[in-house]
Amino acid sequence: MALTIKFLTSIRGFLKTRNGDGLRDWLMVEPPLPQEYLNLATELKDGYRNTNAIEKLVESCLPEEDNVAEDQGTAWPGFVSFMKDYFEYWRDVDFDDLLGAHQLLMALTNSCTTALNNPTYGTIMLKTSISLCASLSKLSMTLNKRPDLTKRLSTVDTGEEDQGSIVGTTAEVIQKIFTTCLTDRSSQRFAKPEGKKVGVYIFANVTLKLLFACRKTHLAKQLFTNITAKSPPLSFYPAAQRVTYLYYLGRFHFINNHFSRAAQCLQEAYYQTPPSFQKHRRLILTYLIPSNMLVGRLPSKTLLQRPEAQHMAPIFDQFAQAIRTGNYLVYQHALEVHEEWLFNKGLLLTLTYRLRPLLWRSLSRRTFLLTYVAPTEADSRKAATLELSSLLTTCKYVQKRLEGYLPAPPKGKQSHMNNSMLFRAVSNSASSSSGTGESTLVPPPGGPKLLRPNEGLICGNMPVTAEHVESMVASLCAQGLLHGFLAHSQGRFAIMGAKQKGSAVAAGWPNVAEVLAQEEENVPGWVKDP
Amino acid sequence: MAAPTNEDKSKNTSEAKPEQQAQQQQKSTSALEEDDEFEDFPVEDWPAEETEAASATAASGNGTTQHLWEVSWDDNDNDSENGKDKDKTGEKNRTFSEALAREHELLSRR
Repeated sequence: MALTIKFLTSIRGFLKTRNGDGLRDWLMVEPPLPQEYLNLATELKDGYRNTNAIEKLVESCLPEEDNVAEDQGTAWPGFVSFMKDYFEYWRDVDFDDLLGAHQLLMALTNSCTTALNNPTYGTIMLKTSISLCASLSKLSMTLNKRPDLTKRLSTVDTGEEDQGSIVGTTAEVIQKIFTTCLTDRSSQRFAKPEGKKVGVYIFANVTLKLLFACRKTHLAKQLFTNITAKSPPLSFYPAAQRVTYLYYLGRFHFINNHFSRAAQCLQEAYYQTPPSFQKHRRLILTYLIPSNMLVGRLPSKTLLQRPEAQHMAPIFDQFAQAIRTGNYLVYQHALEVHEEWLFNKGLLLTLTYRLRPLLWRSLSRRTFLLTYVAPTEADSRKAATLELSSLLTTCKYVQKRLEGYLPAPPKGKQSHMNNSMLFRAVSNSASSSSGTGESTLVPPPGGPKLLRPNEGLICGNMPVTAEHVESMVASLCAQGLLHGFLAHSQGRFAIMGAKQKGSAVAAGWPNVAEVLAQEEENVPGWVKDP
Repeated sequence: MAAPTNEDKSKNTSEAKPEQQAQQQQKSTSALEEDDEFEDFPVEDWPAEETEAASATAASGNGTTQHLWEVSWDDNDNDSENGKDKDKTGEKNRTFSEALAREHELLSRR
């Protein structure tokens, strides 16, 4: 009893002097702990099994005082009930039972939110809230990696609709504190944050970390909407908070296929992180490089040679090479070889489908360069065109190569080739039903490879047709990646503005970054200086 | 169908066959297995001078960030591609565009 009263007397002192740091330092909830806390727990276990008794004790030691001087503070009902929960926490907590400890800590954090909400004195609780949320988040992340423990929970909490994961429910609790901070009126919207507003991005970041850990990123939308509507500019907050926030915001936009926005957020996060934080820079780059690639900005050698890019450089270098040349073989090879890594990073689906327009663009450009014959003086007024039939030839070639067809050895060198393999190849060719006529390719021994839907040029082994090619070109025109129009009856893509640009290829295939990487003034979720 | 459009919603990365998975596991180096968590920074704040941000926001990015991204990367070299684009899966020392050129040449002769 003596220790409990002594503890409360000190707490009362912190309230009186509005000492938020002191309060936080005393209201510890997790090991490592000084012996006093263990003694306190024993005292509570021995003398305060009854919750009413705790409540009475707290009320008597923390009276609400009248006539408080302006620079001083006192207890308030929300705080008294928080202290009651705090003692109950120490009475009941068992750090060997992580799940039980998590539930107690959740209850305590909820009670802390109520205390923080007090308009007059709540701010004293800000530091304590931050520290409690850090402990709660840490414990939740630990539990997230222990399905053996949380499995028990789902049998306890039956009947609840969409019973959230441990991490999900924790995120909800912390988001409430975030909202309290965001709606605090201590300072003007665009002025230096005061009072609880100081905590806006701390709690936003903890919430985001949890939402990303439990893969419920869609729930972050509300948080970003609230920040856009009410938050002070991000630039007022410390660098660590800015970078962390921009990292999650960038990843959120990436997941939602807003690659230009994602690139802006992640680029700023990357530039604001000192080189000494290698791990952070590596994680940012993991998403910054694909975001930029998708809007036509490829990583340079300089970037890929940086130490933080070391592991991912071979992967992204292959994608960049595929984009430059329209080489679907390199592209599919990169996807196949690095599938597991890309999947684990959440990049696989995006890179499997969203890079395709850039590859089609380069493939059509390559075909134009190979087949276009500049007009003579007499018909120089005619528009430069790409024959769609030529692009179809290219596409059929690529599709066959994807199916495993091999280039036939050049004439005169056949003796170097393995004879039995050549024989099989030729006989396969004779029996193949493709009927596409002459080609430099021969079927692979054992027949064409069976492709997954995403491994083909169109869809698996589906043969490429003139209609496919025409619709691709139409789509590229609509996206601005090709500049010109389809002359359907002539089966051609006609380039516009060749004279002004100085060359047909420059006019027909405008710079990708100029088309796609529009810098948006306002990136949703990122509050800039007014 | 895989159309070159941003509306493509197909999510057809079907499960890899067991043997493919085993192959991929071999291929992915253990060096790539890193922790995904964006950890808390050990310090709360640092001056802009310790970062590249200052040079990045300076007019036209004159600083160290200038050479990190390529925006003009179109490949105009019809013949050699500087050996960058070697068609490893096919003929030795032949580039993708050379192979394409051969295909087109053959068909135009027909």
